[in-house]
Amino acid sequence: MSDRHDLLIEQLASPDPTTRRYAAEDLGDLHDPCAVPALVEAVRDPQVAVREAAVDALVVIGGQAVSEHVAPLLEMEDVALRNYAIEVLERVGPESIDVLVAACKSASPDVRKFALDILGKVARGCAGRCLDAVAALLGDDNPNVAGSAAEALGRMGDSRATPCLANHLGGPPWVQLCVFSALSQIGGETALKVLRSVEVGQLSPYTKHFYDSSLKITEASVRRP
Amino acid sequence: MFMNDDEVMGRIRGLIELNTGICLGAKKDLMLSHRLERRMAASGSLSLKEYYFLLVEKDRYELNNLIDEITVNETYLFRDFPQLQGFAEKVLPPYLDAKRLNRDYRMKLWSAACSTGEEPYTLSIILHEMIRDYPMWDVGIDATDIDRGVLAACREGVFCDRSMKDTPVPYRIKYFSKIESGWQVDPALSSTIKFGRANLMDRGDMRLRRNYDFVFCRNVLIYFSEDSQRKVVNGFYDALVPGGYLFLGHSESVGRLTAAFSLERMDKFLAYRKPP
Amino acid sequence: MKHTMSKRILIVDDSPVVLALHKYALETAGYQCATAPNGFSALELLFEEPFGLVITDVNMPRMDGYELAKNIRKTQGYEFVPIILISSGEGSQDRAKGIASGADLYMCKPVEPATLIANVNMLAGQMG
Repeated sequence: MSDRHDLLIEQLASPDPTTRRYAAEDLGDLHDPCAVPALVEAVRDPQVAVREAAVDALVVIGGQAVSEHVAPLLEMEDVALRNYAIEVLERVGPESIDVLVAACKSASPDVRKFALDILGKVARGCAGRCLDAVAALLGDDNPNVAGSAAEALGRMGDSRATPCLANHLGGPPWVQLCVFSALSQIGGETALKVLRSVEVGQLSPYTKHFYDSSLKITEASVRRP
Repeated sequence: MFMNDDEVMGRIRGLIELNTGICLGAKKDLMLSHRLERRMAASGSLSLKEYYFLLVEKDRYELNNLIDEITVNETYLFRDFPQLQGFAEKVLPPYLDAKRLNRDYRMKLWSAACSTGEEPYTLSIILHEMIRDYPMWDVGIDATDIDRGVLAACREGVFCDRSMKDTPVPYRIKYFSKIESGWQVDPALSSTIKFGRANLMDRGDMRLRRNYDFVFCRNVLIYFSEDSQRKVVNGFYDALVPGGYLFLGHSESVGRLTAAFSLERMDKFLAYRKPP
Repeated sequence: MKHTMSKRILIVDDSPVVLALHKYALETAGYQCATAPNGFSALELLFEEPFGLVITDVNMPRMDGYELAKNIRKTQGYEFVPIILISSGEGSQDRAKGIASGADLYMCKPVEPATLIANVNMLAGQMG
């Protein structure tokens, strides 16, 4: 099997794009984490088809080996590369959670935001593993990051987030909006109580509109059996 | 009144033909069985006889439902005429000219999921009509389907009236002979086409297919999951020559599956092109 | 189907909250809006009905805002449609890239509804 592996790694560098593409596909099927570094390199291939095959192969191999190798790409200036990294981490799923929690501490607000967006999608059902890290970013200086933290908590749908959200009802308008929306997605009695405690008079007209719809949705969630 | 399943099927076929003109000959049996299974499940009928009873006695609207089921995937020659016209008049001529400049007179097409053969014969007609120096060319159409059972019907090349409904009259005269069982395709068309079996989900099958100028796979991908669609479309990408085109059904879209193709908009539909 | 025949705005963003906010703001300002969660849906919508202006997020999976802007400019009838790019990106590289992709305006997230409306009003002169 290692002969085949070596041959495929060689073929990843072939001058023919179709050969490179097949090599990436076949490396994915081998499920061998040793292929991960070469595949991550192949995500930069000049041909779209090869890049996509490399991304698919990384997802097939999956696991922490992949998420650990891919997470550094989040810091890249290259938008396309970042997007591939985001896609891989998202498709790998809950096994990306640990590296994403680490990425929440990045100095770059962009990276923190990406990590939160992905966590919102992969941590549903296992929010406990990242709840603290995400909730901590509700108070982030950067409103995009704070808003994404709220969005992520809303997506995860775990009611343990409700008390954290309750502490951030008074942030900048964009963050408020995201907090209200998150509470409505989580739903339940506690979320309703929190929303009802908001000082409605203080809200800007736009935020008030979203507060109203979030409140309605949360009320409906409580009425449902 | 005792009837076996075959007789019931026969009566149902008759009902359909009476109400719609659609003749479901033996080669469409599999399709009809599948549709009937679905309608039986939907209507709660536990047997074919029970369903037939429902159809003729109990529920006036069930026949409409059955007909809808049958026509949703109806295949006939020159289906999606605007798209074929776009292919013939906008895509093909410049493509041919570019080949002529390179003195390259070979062309390969692939009709993937050809079912009972309507599409490859349609393509063959289009090529005969649009390539003015046809005798100089080496043109091949590979027509494949996963269902081995339809291939015999394909090779036979006989179509009923309904399958011909959108075929322009000049082409009927030029390329078909009317026989007792329907319209028989001219051998000149058949000679261009090679029928065979292929499973679009089988990577081995797919990787064998290379160097196509045009791939047609219309209204089949909708039955696949998104992951499977992606695999199939990627297979088509690899099967095409650089600069080759992929044509899907007009409601099907590739963009979500892969960014590898470039989109070319032709009037009302999108063609997908592998970058040259 | 030139874009100048339409007063409708297409808003593209992978965040439902952002879509809802921008749609609400522009509708209260009198514009008709449609939304799309990604570049592919956006392009499909553009083919189906005319839009006079496009607002798109930059960071979206599979087709980012720059790619989308380029694809829009290649689309018949939309070569000159006003495009606003919205990004949380802080780098000056992002802004330069935005202009290079053919966008008319580059805005930073989070977007003040009033600013968005003002910018749209300004570009609306090109909406016919």
